[in-house]
Amino acid sequence: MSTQEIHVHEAESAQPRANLYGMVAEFDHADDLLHAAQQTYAAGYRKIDAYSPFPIHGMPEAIGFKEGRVGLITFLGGVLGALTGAGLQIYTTVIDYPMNVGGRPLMSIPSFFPATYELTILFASFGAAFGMLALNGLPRPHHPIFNAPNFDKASQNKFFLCIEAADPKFDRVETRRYLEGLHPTAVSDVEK
Amino acid sequence: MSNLFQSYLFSLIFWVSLSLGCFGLMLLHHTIRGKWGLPILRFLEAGSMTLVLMGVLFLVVFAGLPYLYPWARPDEVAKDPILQHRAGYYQLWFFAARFALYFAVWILISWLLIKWTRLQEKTGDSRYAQKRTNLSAPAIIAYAVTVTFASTDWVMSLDAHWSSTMFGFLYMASQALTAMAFAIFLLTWRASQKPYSEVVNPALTRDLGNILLAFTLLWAYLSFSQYLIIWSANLPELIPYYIKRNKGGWNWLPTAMLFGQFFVPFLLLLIPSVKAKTRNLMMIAGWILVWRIVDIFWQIIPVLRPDGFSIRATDPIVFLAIGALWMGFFFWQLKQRSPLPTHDPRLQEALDHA
Repeated sequence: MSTQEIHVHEAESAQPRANLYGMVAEFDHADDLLHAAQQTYAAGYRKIDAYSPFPIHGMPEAIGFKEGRVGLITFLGGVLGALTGAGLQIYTTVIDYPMNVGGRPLMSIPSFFPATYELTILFASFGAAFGMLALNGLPRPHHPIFNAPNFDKASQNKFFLCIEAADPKFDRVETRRYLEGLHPTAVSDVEK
Repeated sequence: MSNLFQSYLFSLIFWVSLSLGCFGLMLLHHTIRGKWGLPILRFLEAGSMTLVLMGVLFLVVFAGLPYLYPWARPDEVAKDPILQHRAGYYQLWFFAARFALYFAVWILISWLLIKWTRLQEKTGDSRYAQKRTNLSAPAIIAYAVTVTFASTDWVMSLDAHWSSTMFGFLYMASQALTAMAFAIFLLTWRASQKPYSEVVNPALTRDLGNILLAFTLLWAYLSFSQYLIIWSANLPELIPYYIKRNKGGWNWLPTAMLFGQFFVPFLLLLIPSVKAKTRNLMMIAGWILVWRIVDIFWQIIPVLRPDGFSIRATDPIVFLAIGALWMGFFFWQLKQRSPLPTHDPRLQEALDHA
């Protein structure tokens, strides 16, 4: 097999799969994107994502987005905060440096509540913010989706639906034909 | 005789709290016009109308004032300078005039709001919605002021010397929690029946569950703040309130409430899947309602029965009797009109889609 033949073969089936992140369809309206996403999910595609300038009601359900673990991480952050707040106060005022305040017992639980409560809120907020960042894989300087043509419009007035190459049902020819059947304004490959 | 009046006051305060909670939530709904308020609006309206019944039932308390309030016992006032100082405020006619004013304000506002909903449903004129909002926003202020004074008159003055500046707000939070739990209980209980089945969905129950969670937190926050401030100050005029309520067996009520009224519903309502199912939400709402009764009981009864924890036979009997009247009046009011409001296009949309 000569190098010439290989080159021709590659040209027929375009680039090898390894270089492809996915395929993206561009829409003009939010409703079109929502319907396209619902249809795509129903067609059996699972690794799909939608990009729009504003949140679209019903979109998480349409692309099959499952309730994330941010809530759980937030809760665990809160528990850790409560333990830290209570532990810090109990350690300092009862064990490390006992001090008589107004004749109250050293272990005066009501007076430990405000700071415990504040640290619960603080750590829960940390859990929510950093958990969200971690689960989203952020901070991340670049993402393949930005290779999609015209993608800067996703924060202005265009709506994009991406089927990732990692989807088991993904096929260069079939997926392109499928996306074109959704009547987008454009379908393009997204390179990695 | 004194047992009867003690039970009567405790029962009345619980059921008035439920009525006022419905009233307060109705004001909130008409002010912010949240979509979540529409499926329970009829419950709130019927609950507000029970204030008419509660006003009448309250008259019985006037017969038993000396059994309940230290300021109504002349021999006690005679040897107590603080009570003498307050005697001008707690004259019978002034107490009665305030009582009349509170109920007049509550009933008048309820009546107007319900009338304007009815007129809008009949004529389709959306200007009534703006009228309701224009009245409800200032009415929330009137509600806050009247509930503060009413809770001071009816509950705070049971303790001769005690005062707490956040007591009124604590009552508002407690009323909102009671009424929200009650409305959620009714809605989820009937969730499988038409027409409720067409508007109850996981998005709605999640919203309602979150609001219930917020009121649970607000109640806990205020209850604990009041306790912490008084406990920290440790002043002889203020601290007896908690001492009376924490000795002779009464102390296990607040301990149980810490878990029953706060931790259990708080932790359960954090879980998203719990809020998505009507059955779960119904059980939590019912659970909260039971603890609301315990809370009111603990606030009112210990000062009247200082010898230690006791439940007298009259407590459940009078409670259920007033409750039966309340429920009778409530369901009679509820039956007068369509089960769901028809004035708001957003709810009609949901019904049309179903």
